[in-house]
Amino acid sequence: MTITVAFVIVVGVILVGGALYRRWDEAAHLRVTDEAGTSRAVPALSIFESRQVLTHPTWLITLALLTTLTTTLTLMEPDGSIPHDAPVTWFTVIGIPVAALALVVSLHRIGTRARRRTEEIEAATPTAPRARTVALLIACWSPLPIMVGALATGVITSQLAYSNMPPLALWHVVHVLGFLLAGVGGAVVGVLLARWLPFAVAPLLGIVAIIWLNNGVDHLHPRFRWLRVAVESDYGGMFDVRPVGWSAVFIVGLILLGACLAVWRHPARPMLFGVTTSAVLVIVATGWSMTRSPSEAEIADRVDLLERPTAHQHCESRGIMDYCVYPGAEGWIDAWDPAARGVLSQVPAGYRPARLEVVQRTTVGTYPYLAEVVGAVDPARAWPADGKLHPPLWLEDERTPDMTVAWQAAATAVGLPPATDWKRPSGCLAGGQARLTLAHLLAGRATATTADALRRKAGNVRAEVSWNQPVAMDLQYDYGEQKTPPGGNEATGHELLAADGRTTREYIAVAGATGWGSDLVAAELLMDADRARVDRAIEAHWAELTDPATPTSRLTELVGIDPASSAGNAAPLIKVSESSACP
Amino acid sequence: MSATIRIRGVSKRYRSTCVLDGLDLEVEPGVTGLLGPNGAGKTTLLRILATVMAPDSGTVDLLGRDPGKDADRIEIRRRLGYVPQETGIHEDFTAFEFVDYLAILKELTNRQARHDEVRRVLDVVGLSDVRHKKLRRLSGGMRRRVVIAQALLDRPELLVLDEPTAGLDPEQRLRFRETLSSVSAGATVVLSTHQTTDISALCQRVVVIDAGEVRFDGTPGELTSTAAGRVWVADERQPGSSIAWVTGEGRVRNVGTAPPGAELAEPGIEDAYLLLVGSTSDAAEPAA
Repeated sequence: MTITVAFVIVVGVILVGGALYRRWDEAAHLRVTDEAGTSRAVPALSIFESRQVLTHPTWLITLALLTTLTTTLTLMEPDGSIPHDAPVTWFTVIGIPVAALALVVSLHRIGTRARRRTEEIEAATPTAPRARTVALLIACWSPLPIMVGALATGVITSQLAYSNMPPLALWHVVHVLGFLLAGVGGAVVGVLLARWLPFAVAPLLGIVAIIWLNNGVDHLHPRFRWLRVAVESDYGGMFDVRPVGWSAVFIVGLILLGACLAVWRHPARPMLFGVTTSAVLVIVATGWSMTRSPSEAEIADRVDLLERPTAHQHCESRGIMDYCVYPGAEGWIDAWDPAARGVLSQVPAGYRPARLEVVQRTTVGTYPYLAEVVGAVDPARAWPADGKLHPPLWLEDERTPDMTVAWQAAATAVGLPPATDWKRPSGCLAGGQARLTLAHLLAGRATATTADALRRKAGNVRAEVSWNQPVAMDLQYDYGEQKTPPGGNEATGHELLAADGRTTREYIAVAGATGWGSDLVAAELLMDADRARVDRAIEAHWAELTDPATPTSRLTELVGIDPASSAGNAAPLIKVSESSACP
Repeated sequence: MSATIRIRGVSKRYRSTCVLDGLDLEVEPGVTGLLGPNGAGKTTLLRILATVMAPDSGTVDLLGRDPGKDADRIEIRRRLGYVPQETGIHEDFTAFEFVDYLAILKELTNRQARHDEVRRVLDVVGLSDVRHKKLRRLSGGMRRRVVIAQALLDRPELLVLDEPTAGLDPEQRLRFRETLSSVSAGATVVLSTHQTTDISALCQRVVVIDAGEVRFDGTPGELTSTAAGRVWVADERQPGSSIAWVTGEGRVRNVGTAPPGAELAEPGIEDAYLLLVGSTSDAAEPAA
């Protein structure tokens, strides 16, 4: 069953079920509803109903819960700093969908309040039942400013709690917009169900249908985004042919259609035909725009973006550094350059690279590329082992936008592969090697934020007792999982790559090498050790320390610290094979 | 004074049951009471007067308009106040919210003026002090008064009240009489009740309906006078009485055809009503 068929079935069940219920109800009960009446009361009634919506217990409880939940999740970050989109993400991913489902119930309860209670009194007033439905539909928008306010509360709280949180960007607004519209959509569904299925269990069935449509039907299909009520920020972008903004328009179309279907419960008017038709056209047009197959030219363009990134990027040189970034990421160079320089300044002059190239590159695992693009791209060209630094397009942890470049610069300096490549999609293993610990140390000492990043990562190792497990100085992925495929075998080099519709394919990570958790803890200890002594050891023993045969213990021994007391002595969980070992 | 309600040959059936059968009625401004046993068609007639139900046949003219036409029906509703026989309330609303909601539906859209009017009608029914209480916290009598309050919004020209005093205690019923007499000046009030004392106290005119037909139409005094010479007291139930009961004084009050030489008693409106609709009716209340 396709998602489109499922949607049509759900709508059909509502309309046919509603018609049958009405026939039975009119036969079994005396109904006094009269459709004649005016719409003069709509403005005042909308305000009244908005007040009812905003003070409805279901909504109020949900609002309190979601605000508390999202703020708590944000504040639960253990280290005093948070990703700058965390309030937005928590709120949109958890808060609004729950609120939307609560609004289904609230609006249904409000919309059915007259059933056999005050129906007779209301029928004796000059206001038409249609006007009451329209007022309710207008009131569906009333939670919007409250949801925005709750979001603002979370953001402001986070801003006050965490001094290093960067300001919000415009894309956050776009991202949130779709979810806010989904909240309104939930309310409209409540009104729709109230008008067609005015019995208590209907909103619960509606919630089940919404969840089913979004997650239960055909959700692995490449065109899954059709009918998905919430905009997902990881869709779209330059690698897609379907802009994210269209999804918001699509949701507006769904809201409009839901409203029209609710009003269809009353006798039809010519204008309703027009509005309904318009809503269907908007849904079809935006649905098509979000699900259409790309043309050959579009596929070629997207493949070229992956295979020849520098042809589409902004490039500039700063000293010995050459930077190329995709449009929109130009500002990151300012963050990366001090980090790269900070690393290189610690490398003895004779071993310093003559030039370093930084080319921003996608990380396939988190990008749901179009299936056609995945099929057409040549991985060997898109993700070659070219020795360049390859920061990703998105950083999961934007507290430390410079750590990836710092670590890759350090890796290059000590002779480790800076970035993953097609042949080693999850990097290589250099656990227990002094050069890996040295790379951690150089990167951690580059800037204040990279120092924070290293300490945070080492703190995680201690908290999770992952001394003997693969832990990369990479902020984007959980390498403990990526390095251990199902079955417990060694990493095969073929992880999973996300394609459109969540079809999974090959996977490419970011950091080119991974060590044990104990290497990270050792690097942190070295950061805290006497700086002059550490610098002297690095200066005097660079060649030895960057030899793959030199263990981490040699580096700590040179500085005079004993990492074993804090790092544990357990043997590594993963055996380093010839194929997985770093060159 | 011209009639504000004109009904000619109105009939209404529910499935196979004929509820109203060619009913004719004219009502002028003032308070008109409807009496009749259960199932007589009172509520159906009041629903037709409140425009929430259309007759199967016959003509209805309310306030000079034809409720069969949409535009006229809407205009009638603007000038109408209605208390249904059995109406629920939105228990989560406060008294103020409930009346405010109905005020909006009655097109009182100016917020300040509407709120003033809501406060006025709640004051009229004596609920000002509890207007911000949830309806679920109010007693049954108070809730009934809230429903009455909404009917008084915007000083309606036609007030249709179906058993408005049901559930009210004696004091509240007296207060209701006071309220109704204060709001009925110049308006047409049609009141259905089983409380014959309310009819006597409030109505300039009484109409008795039985089996969908008008059985009596006149003043309460004229209705009472139909029982003259047909009510007597004795020491025991007498042959010829259609209904009899022991009074508080220990004697038996007989209603029916008085035997010669009987000790006649002063008839009441309930005696007349009983004689009119028959002793088998279960609608009559015991004599006060």
